[in-house]
Amino acid sequence: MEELKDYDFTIIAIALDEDVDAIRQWARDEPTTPLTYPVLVDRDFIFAETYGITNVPSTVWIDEAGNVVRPPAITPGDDTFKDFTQIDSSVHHEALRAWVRENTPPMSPTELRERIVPAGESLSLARAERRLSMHLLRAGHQERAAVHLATAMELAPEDWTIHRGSMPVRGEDPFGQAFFDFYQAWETAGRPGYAP
Amino acid sequence: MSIIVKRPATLVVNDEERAISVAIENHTWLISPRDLESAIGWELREEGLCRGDVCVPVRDKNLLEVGNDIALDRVAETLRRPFATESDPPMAVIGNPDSGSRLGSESAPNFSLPDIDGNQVSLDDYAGRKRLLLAWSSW
Repeated sequence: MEELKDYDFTIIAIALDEDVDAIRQWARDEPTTPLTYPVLVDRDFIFAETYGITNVPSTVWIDEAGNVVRPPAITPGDDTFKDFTQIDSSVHHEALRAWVRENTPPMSPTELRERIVPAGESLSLARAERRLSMHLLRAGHQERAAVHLATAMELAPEDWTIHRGSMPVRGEDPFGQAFFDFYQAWETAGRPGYAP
Repeated sequence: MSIIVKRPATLVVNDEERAISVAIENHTWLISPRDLESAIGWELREEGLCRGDVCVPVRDKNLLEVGNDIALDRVAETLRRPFATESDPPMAVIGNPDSGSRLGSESAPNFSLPDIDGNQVSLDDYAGRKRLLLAWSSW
């Protein structure tokens, strides 16, 4: 980010989190230098659903004219989870530099079109069910919220945003056994919905 | 015609909860045309379901109209938006259109969200610049 500061370019970070305080605290404590870009909070996964984000961290690139030039893709900031993700972060960083500095498009229009896949009926409905469960939970209806979350997970068994994203409210550890079980099932199913 | 008794319900549109009155009959959510317009901004006209100048044609108006009311689930179906409901407490979500179809359109869909200080920020605030949207989370 620092090296691209002289270009007409900005990052907009969007946190998919129920716990707004945790995000606020992270943004104030964690970065070594003060953040120069906005950090938005998407409790209802509005952005995630509009752009079809299936996992985090994911990035979308938008050009000056407001066109998507790179659809959502999983984009690790570094190589900490390289074994898991099978993604080399430096490839992304290079492509980003080339785009910001020299206007090099990250992919051809044909590839861009191929990469944009409709969510389809069951994932769209799963997202609505997930959102319903979150609103029920906030209104204090834990039991009914759990029923709708279960429906969402049944409709979209391989969607990370729905599964892993709901682990904190389901009382499961997103870095614990429940996550590894989900990861194994997803891996066995051939990494569906995976767009590195 | 029998009198339909309505009760208060919540309709979630984007991230907002809107108060409506609903009668739930055989899983069909019946709301008044006025509630339909104030909650989701669409109204049923001769030419179809309309919001401002934009109209989505309706093949059979009778499917959407039940007496003086509108069947909300069929409105969602017509608009190709998912619809999830709970009857106790009455709460429903009318979801977003399919992400794939929107991304395939010419320009990136705008959105507006609060930043960590509570200020509303939209994608269009940064129009004319290259933008990298980064979705992340604490999970």
